[in-house]
Amino acid sequence: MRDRVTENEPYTGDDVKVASSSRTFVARNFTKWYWGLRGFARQRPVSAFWLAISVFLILMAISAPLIAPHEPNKPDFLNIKTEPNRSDIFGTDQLGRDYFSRTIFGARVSLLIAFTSVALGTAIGGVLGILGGYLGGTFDLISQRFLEVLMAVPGLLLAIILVLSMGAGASAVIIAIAVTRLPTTSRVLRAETMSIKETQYIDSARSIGASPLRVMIVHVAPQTVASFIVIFTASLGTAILTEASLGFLGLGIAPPTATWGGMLGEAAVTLIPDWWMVLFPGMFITLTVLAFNLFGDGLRDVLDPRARGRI
Amino acid sequence: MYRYIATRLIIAIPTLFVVSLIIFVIMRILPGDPLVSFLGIELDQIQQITAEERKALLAELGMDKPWVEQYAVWMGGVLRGDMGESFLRGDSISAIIAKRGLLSAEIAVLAVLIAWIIGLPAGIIAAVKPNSILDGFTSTVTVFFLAIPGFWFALLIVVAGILWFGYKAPITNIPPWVDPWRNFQMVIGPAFVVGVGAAAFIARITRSAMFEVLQEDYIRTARAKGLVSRLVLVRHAFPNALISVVTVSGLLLAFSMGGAITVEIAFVVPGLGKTLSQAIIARDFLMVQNLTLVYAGVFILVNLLIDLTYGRLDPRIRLTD
Repeated sequence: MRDRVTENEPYTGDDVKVASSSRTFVARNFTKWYWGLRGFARQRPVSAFWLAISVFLILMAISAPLIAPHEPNKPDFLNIKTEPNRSDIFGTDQLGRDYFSRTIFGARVSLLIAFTSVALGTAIGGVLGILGGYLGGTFDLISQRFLEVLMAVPGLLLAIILVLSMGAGASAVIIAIAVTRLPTTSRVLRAETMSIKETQYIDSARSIGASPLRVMIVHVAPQTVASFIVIFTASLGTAILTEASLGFLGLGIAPPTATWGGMLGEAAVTLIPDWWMVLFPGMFITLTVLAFNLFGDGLRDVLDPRARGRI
Repeated sequence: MYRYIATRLIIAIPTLFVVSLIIFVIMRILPGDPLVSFLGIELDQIQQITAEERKALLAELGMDKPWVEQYAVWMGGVLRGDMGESFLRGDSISAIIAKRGLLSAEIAVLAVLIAWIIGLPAGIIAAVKPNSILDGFTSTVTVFFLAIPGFWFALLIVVAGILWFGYKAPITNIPPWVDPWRNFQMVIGPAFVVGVGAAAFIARITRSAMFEVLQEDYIRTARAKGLVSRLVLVRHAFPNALISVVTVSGLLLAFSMGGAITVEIAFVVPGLGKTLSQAIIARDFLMVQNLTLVYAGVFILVNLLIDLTYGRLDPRIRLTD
């Protein structure tokens, strides 16, 4: 039953109907998603649990203004560095700002930057990989050398230099993290494209006169979607860690905006850091990275059985 | 073999050259004013400097010349072992990097040792008895440490140390030949944090590599001819699994070198990471430029060493081509 709905669906010419009625389209995809998720939860219950945690964290970030009990950036000089208590359950920081509210708002920055930078980085990396793998020749040679230079510098250092060159700010951080995602994505998709290129259906597409661009978009790209999704989820955790490190170094989003890395950086500046100022933001970073990584692991096992157990 | 090393070294040089070029250009298009760090005064006071004074200062720093010339001067210096002077304090950058780099190098070596000592056995045990309690325990710990930001773990240790053990952050850089014990105290914290993170990485790869090797036919043959289980593991399985572990050591290196920057800062250890962050805040161009070059150089060199070891471990890989 499940298999019939999620995959191997025989072509029935339904596409015409779908185009004419958007309601059928939504309904069909809903059932598809429902069965897909259910199958995933059955096969990988642990990963499904962490998917739920990821969704929870995303919802928390979106509804931050509703959840946060206090204004995240409002100083309260009468309550500076108070330990966690009933009104400030995570305590307050050096300006008396409520740490719980700041932590919740910090999720917004972390998740937004992680998603946009990974989307940007993996998309460009993927295009470079497919182009390089399919076209080969000079383009492939030049893009591979370029990526090798990027890989010659440790990821965090590369991000640091890029943020420095663009000046601090959200877009600088996003672009910097995106660039660090380029080499892995393009390498994986390049290798995959090169093996897809040798298959017969690519030959037949070319023999009936399809242009290289059409072959790449219509025939190659859809085959790489599984790998792409796997790389995307695997990159989210790394992106959050990089963003936190940049914030910790004072290269992230400018204060007073709350970011997890920035909060840890502010806590570390004081000679004797207070335990609550250190504990809570880091806990959330770890939880988020853990959730994305473990969900990604399960997704990879389901989408790409060959890679099971590999990193 | 020698030919292979030579070829690899010849490839490494252009890569380093391009890296240096990129860093150089990025540092020139920076929005910050280099005079800020040189004069150490507020921005609005900088705007009060007359155009002539500004010109004179830039000339003193050698920053009025065309880029090509500046680059040539920098590279010429680097090749002679002179990296110029820090804008911040006017000290010789080579001397600072040599002094502080020693501390970072100690941390790196110790961290690698810790990572292998913990990671390899953990991965092997997990692979030998898959789905056992020990395997479950190792994989849980592994997954956990891969998600923990190193600098947070470091901060937690510092805070716990201050609260419960009367720990004091080191202020001065004590070289090992002056007081080996105090030097060790400085290095062990960052080395432990970086090492444990890397150990998680190694354990994970060792487990999957060992697991794969143990399914091979020759392992069954070895067992079938009555070889002791321990010998099957040590002689037949482990050396082959090691190849995969060494292959990904490059990734591990990037992870550790990047991680060490923030971990050093969390421990207030005056290594290269701390120097880099100070240079970033002060917009000390030349310092950042040189430090990045040093990091990239070490990174490329160690990756080369890894590739060479890889060839040594796996005779199937032809090193001559």
